[in-house]
Amino acid sequence: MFEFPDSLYCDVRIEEVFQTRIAFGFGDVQEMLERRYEAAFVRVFDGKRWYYSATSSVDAVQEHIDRLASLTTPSQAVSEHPVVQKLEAHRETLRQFSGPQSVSSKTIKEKYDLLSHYFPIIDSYDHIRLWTARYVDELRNKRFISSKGADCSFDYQKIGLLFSYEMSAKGNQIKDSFSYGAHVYRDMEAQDRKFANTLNRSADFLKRAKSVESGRYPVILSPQAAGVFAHESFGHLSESDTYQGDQTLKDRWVIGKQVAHKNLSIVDDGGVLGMGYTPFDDEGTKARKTYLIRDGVMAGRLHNASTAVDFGENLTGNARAISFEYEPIVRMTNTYIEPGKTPLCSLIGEVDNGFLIDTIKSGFGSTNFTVSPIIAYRIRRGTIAEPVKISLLTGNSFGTLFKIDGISDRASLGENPFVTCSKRDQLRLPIDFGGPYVRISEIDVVG
Amino acid sequence: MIREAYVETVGEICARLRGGAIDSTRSREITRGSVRLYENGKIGIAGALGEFDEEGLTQEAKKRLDMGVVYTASPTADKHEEREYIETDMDAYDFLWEVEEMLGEQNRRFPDCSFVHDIRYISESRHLRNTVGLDLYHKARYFEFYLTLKRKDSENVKDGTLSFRLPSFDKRAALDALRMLCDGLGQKPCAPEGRIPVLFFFNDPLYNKTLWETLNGISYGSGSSLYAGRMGEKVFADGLTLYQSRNRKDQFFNAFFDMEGTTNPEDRCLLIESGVFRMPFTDKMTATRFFLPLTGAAQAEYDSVPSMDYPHLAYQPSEHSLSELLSQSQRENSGRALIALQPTGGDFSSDGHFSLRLQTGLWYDETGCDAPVHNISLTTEIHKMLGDDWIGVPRHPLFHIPGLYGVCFWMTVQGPSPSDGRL
Repeated sequence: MFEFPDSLYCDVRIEEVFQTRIAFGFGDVQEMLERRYEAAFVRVFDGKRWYYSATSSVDAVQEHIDRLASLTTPSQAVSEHPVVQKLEAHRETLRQFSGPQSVSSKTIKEKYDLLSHYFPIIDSYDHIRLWTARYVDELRNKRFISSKGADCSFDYQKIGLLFSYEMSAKGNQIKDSFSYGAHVYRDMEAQDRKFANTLNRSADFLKRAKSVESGRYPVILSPQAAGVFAHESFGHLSESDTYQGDQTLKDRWVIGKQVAHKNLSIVDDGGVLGMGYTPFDDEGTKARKTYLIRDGVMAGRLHNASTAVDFGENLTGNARAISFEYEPIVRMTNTYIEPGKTPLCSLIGEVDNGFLIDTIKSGFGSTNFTVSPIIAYRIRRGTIAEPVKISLLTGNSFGTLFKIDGISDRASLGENPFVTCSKRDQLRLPIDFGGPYVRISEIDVVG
Repeated sequence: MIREAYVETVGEICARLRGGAIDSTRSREITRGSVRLYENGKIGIAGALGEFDEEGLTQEAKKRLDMGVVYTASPTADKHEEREYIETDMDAYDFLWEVEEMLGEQNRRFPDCSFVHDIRYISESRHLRNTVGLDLYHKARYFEFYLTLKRKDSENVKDGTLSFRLPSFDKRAALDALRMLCDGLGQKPCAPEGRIPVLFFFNDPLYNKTLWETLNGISYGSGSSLYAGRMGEKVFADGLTLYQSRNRKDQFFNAFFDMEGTTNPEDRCLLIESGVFRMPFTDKMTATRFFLPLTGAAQAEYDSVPSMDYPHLAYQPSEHSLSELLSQSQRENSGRALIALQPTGGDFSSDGHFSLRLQTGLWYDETGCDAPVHNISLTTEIHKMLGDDWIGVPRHPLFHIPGLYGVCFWMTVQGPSPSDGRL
């Protein structure tokens, strides 16, 4: 298909994308967008430096390969380079969203009808001052071809609805949302009851939420909040390019070290059909289940080929780019905490004075992590009590992992197509996270 | 029917520096374009990536007019302007040679620190024209520096980041800023208590989140803004003057027009003037819907309907140095403020409380940095932050980077957390 130059490693990623976006607000249709494009990203490696180029014309890929090659210092030894040796060369096709399964087979009118089905429900609530609605879908076909002989293809599809709203009454207000997603259209059936429950929960929060005193409390995180916590507190620290070449951190983060309470296991797996589904990463590596923490012990890290060689570890399938314009860097896929053995009621029943974090609006992680809740409840003498306003949960990522003292027996992935992750200049990468309910014995709560 | 065409071409060479060497280079030059048709309060848009046929897009946009997307505002008419901002004639080889030079000097001068930098050389052109006399063209080249550093013995993933844009490759400016940061990070850490003056980079998104939410025309018009109904009132500190800016002096290097073709005199629109709330920011539909002044805050992807998004905000710097501003403040001070160098998340609550986690701060007195501060939580309230606790915008930009101003106000330290266990 392409003529790869001698004495260089080269790969090409071709992306064929179909996207729909519908927006509704203030009683009007604000967007009805369908977009299709095909584009490519080219990488060339001479053993010393990577050279990248993006093009919106697949016909021009050969030109880009040749131009990048002209910038390099070719070396016959490149095929023996450990990074090139490490790269996998699969020849496989995984397609599951073609034909009637494809979102491109539905009309934009059908998609608008799905969205507008909910309008009467949200319009029936008194305290809503403002609401907007969005429908998104995306079908992405990727093909990866390399000078090592790789030629693998797969498709990825997501569909989602999002209602954002502001409720206000008597000087109080809340900004909240309802969203859900799926991978095929037939799984997007109406969820009227769930939507109504979410709106009722927001209305209850608006009426009854109390302020809290800042301090250190026991906190139970919902699966959504626990997923964010796992992603922010340890997931980002597991992205090995974060400390590639940093001997201080390499010495600290040794596989086999106890890094968390013994009941905690965190996994990343791009092979699971979540929103972070990545059966082959953007270096052609096949997805696998990677334990980041297993029974409290650091069990692995996430890699691309370069970091895997640098750390002397195996590939994990985590080299991902947000689009054809960017090179793959080490990113999470579907990251989750494995379930424990404790029923949720026992987790709650053992808390005398603490909080349950139900929904969150954002999270951030590095050496420290922060989570901004939307809906939270006080737990008083083992019972869920009134809703509370908490602006921030925060702590040191390493210290907090040791304070997890209870994990519920059921876990779920978020499956929210609007959840994305940003790193460096690559914003809004689809990822997924989740887990069971997780109790932290004490954490800083800012009221 | 009014027809409007938009074409953008963005080229980039990005050098990634890691481990004292250039790790990779990335180049791209991508053209995107669209045709928008306006008729009877509706808009139809068709776009394409790469080369495209404008007539073909027009036919497609005609079909999309039937989709019922509402756009009742009037497209901008009778406005012609063409600007080119090109202060460098570097090619890719020159750029990489300069980056190598900077890298060599950095490795020699700062042996105790390690760095990961992305430095981008950007060339862009944007052209918006329509059949009612709009013809705006922007062409520019500039450099984006995204610098990340840490002490080699630090247990943090990174100790600080600094990002800024310059019209030419001024490696001296970048190296001087790194010197100040490295010097500061090498000092003995301290643990402040109580209320302290905190300096945010004016473009820090965590800090700006509150301004975007409260000065937003939709929030204002719908009544959810904390300042709803107070346009024209003196509600902020005397020394606070804030613009929505597309001016290069304010570290803004993109087009001088927004995605609806709105422009402003000197590329700035006053939102707050000496503490008086002049107007929230708006695009055309928001301005029309809520009877607000139009500020030109429309953004859009090449093929999407223009709508309001977070604009670039910039402050009028004061005539005073940081030390003078602190002296004028009614509280005792040491003539220096804590730069929020590495915030790690934070948020505003709906009733105006702002909480922030600061992984690394550096005490700063305009000549340099000393005494890092690690792992504290800071809190304030928006009314105080922009009111009684406002200190001001020092006249000298931070680290002497043109346009990179600091915004200073008092915050309360919640204290280093005893839960901050280290491995």
